[in-house]
Amino acid sequence: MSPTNDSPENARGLAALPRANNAAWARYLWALPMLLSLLFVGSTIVWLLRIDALDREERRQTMIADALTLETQLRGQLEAESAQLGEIAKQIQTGKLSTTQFATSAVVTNSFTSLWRSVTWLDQSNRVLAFASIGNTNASLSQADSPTGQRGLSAHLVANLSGSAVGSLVARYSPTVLLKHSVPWWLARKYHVRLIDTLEQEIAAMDSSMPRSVGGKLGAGLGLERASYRLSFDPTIRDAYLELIEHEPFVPWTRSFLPTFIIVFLLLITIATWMLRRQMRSVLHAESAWRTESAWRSAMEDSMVVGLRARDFDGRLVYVNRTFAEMVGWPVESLIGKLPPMPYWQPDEIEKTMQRHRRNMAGDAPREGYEARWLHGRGHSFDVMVFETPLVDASGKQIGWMGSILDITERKRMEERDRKQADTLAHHARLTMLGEVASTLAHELNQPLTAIASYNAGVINSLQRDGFSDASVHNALLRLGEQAAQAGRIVARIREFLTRREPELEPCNIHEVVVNAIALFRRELTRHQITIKFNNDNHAIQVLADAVLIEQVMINLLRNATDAFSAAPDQMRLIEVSVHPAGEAFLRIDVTDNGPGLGGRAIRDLCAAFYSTKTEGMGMGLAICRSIIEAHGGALDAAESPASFAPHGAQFSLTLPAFKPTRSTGLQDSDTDNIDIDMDVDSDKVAVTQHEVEA
Amino acid sequence: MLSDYKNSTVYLVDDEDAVRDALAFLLRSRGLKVLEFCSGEALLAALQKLDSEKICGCFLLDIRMEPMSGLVLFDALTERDIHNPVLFLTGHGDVPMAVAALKKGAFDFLQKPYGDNVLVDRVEQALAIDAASREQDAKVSERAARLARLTERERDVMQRVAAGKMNKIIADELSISLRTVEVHRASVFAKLGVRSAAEVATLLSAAI
Repeated sequence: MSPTNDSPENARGLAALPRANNAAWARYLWALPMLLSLLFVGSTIVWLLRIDALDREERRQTMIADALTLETQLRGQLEAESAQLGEIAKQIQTGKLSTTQFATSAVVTNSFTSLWRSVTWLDQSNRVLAFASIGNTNASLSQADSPTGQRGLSAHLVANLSGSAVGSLVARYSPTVLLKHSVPWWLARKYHVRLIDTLEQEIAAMDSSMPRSVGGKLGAGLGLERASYRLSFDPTIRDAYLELIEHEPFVPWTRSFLPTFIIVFLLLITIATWMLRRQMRSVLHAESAWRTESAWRSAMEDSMVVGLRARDFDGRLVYVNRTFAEMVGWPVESLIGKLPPMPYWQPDEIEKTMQRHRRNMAGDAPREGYEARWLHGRGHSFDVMVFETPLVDASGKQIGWMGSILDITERKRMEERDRKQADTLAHHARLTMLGEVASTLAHELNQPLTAIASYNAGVINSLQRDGFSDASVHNALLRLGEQAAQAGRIVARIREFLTRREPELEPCNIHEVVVNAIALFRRELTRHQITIKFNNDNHAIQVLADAVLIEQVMINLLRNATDAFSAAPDQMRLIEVSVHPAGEAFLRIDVTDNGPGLGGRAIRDLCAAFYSTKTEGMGMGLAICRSIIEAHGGALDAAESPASFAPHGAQFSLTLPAFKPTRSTGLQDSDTDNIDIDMDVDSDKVAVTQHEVEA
Repeated sequence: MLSDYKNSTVYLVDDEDAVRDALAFLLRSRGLKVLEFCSGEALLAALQKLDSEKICGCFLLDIRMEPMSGLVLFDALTERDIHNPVLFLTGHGDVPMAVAALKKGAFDFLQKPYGDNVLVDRVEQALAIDAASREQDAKVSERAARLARLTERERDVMQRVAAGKMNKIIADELSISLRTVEVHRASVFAKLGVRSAAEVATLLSAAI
């Protein structure tokens, strides 16, 4: 067909495939942000955990280092104190210091400037020889405890005496003060420093407040363990440990606001994703609906028998459907964007078409459509019916004209054919009628002419026999005869000239003939609201007849029945045509109606020339029918319709010779061939033939 | 050799009174005997009273008549074993029917309006043929009657005589005496009214 056939389909087909694949993963596109978020959160957590671990480790390292530094410092302090005590002991041993001078000696009192509380001089059996304490060098042992009000345990430094004064020198000091003096401020701020014994009993602490409450409120609230480190303080202080406890507990990220943040973040992401998904779904939904609709629309447009074309106000083609492209025989692509004159316009009518185009663009195209003749791409012309309607855009503004185009070539052809057929039929009917008039006239005139000629010849014979010999009378009578014969010849000539065409008999399918006749008369039947039934069991049955003439007879009988109904009151109007075999050689066709009936008239009256029950009737119809049927060797008869057509009605029956294909070698051989001889045969010639037979 | 038909009748059937009367007048003007009937039924009714053997003459029938057409009437006559010549009167449009009639054995058809002496001539020919066949029929039946008078033996002898056989041979063949053959021969000649063997042969061939 046209080159436009495949391209739109292919284009759609190609586009559809990747889109379908897209859709498969596009359906889960909404999960991508969620996935990324989870990935991000996961890595953040891992990173945080790692940071935490590193932090913890570092803090621990720092703490260990701090503890070791502090220990060293404390040990150094205590060693200095021990050295001081050793100095006192040396003085005692050298005898420079006696028990009486002990409490007041400078070397002893100076020692109290540091952390010492008291110094006791014991002999070998641990009896106190001398005692000196801070603030009160004569203070008794019972008063030895912290004049400053300091509580806590005390520790001792012992220096053994040897030589002249055997015994020992014991210096009591407060570890608390030791710590206070020795622990640097930055360390005290960072850690809670204390000394504990093996029973976890606190020996000394950096400050009096409860270590546990020192921790951050947050840490306390969360019940966090604070990191601590302890190391043995042996042998400086036996069975004692130096412990560092961090003031600020280590807060892992999990205990911070971060999880909440992450949870909230994930929650929001989830909500956002869900919304995104919903949005995407609805978009996908809409898209698929749109695609379906679009596919439907293009399928509909392409399957339509109506060609569609849209034009803007300049007359440019902005859209054509496939039907249109096929109709005009140009591919869609070559049509889109075309400005007038169009390739499908008749080249010799461009000017006229252009005028019409301008009229259409002005909006003056007839609403009921107009007919046009277009040129197909292959060169043949075709007829179309065009309907122009305004083309509006989405906002309702007119942007051009939409034309619907129907190919009416076939319809026009059929109309033309019908018209020709009707013309032919009417022509035949006129000719037949004229012929029948002539034939009837000839018959009617022939009777008196025959009588005249016969009388005349009889008179001549009689006169001759009687011996009458007046030549003038004889001649007159002879001329009378000649004139009568001349009149007869004139009548015959007129009749021959006007006579209906003689039947051309050939085998034809009577079923088709009747169906054709009914089809030709269908419009009349419909107009008069008449139901027609056609009963024929044998569709292949053949008759030897002139199909056109028999068709005419059938139409005539149908018209008679139809006309008869006009006199009948409103009722169910029915005409039934049926075909039956009639004996071996004949076929009968009945045309029965339930009209007013024949009113007692016989076929002879009905067929009389110029007899009619119709006001406008010529009275030739049935006469013509009868002569046609008789020319076929059949008969036409009329009767009241059978009882099944109550209450009354008429039945016209005609018989036609059946055609027997088994003897179809020559028409003359048929049983019913008596009428196939050329009707214009001269009677004399036939008579001569007959003579020869007889002779 | 036309036989005498002066005693023959023309049976004229036409439902058109004027035409019938005119034709009868014409036929009678030539001295023919005419019987007129206004319809086929009337003719058949009249013929019913007659023996078909006794109908002498021809029929002149109008082909287009109501209700019994000329053709139907023709069939009715044939059915009644009446084989006299039949002539049809036809209008111009009835030629096919006339041709059909000819095929069925009608003598001729005459087209209106030529009601002149040509028509009468054809009628006379028909009458002559009828008369001739009637004469022929009469001769044949007469010969048949003569032959019927012969005895069995005479018939045997006659056949051999007609074949041109000698009396002697006939006697041999029939195992009878020569004398007896001669007696039979004389008797056959007398009964058949012939004088020679050749005449016997002619008569025999004509009668069969």
